[in-house]
Amino acid sequence: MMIFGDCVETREILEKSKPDLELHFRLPSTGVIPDLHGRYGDIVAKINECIGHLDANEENRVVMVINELVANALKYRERDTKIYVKVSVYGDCLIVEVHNTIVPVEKSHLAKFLITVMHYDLNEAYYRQIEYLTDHPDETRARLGVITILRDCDARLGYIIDEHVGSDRVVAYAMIDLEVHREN
Amino acid sequence: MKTEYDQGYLSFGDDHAIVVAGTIAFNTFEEFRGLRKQLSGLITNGSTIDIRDLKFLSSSGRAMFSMVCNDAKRRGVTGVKIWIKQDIEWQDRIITTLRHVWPALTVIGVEKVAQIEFPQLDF
Repeated sequence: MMIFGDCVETREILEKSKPDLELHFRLPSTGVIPDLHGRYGDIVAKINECIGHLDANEENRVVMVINELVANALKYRERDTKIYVKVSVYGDCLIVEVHNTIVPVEKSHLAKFLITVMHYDLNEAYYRQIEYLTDHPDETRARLGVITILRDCDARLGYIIDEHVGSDRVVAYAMIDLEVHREN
Repeated sequence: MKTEYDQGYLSFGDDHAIVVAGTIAFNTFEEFRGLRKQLSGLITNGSTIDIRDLKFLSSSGRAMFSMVCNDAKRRGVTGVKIWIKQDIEWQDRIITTLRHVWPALTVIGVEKVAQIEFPQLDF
């Protein structure tokens, strides 16, 4: 098992505390991916309903974190395997978990990338990648999802890569402190 | 001229203002290729780019925009103005990124809307 980033505190909250709100969904292993942005909108609406009002920037932050983790899972997963997503709210703290399989070549890329990015200045890493993309306009992947979650969404992020017979698995954890507007 | 992208669009009018607006929920960098090429082809000296009513839902959109501006700088484009809303965090972040790749950037105006200029630089 390989652990990267901030997993300990996140897993402790998940194991020991009772969430105020828990939502989960699965993406099918094959066929058409359902309307993800509609689903994210539903999640934000439920958070607003349950714990208070998030402003547009906070809503965007929540959607961004879920979306980036799901987008990565879709890129990394083995063919014909499902993706499981859980969003939990504990007071003003939101935790997103995404479980998926990972193809071997992506596993080593992800591990190397996480080691690099967790020890880098995030702004510097971002700027370097923008320069790289400008130099390589035919690049099909920006590879800025993880950096954006950490840098722009102010999230704590952790990954666990677990080796299994058949297919390796990844769990991504992102934790963000929400700024909630509550009516007195 | 108006080109639709997802639930958003790019328009380019007689005033040479480039407006990108609406929600563009593309997820992959590849999906932004068309918009990126069109934007790159339109940005010239004196261009005004208005993204005040634009909403991206992925890191790829933000990256695409920074990349297009970086590319324009490399092509020798100067004097571009970008309209943003400073109270939209991701737009403000983009300006932080552009300040880095284009260090002499100055912000004119405060309040909710900022007008950004990229002065002539020696490279």
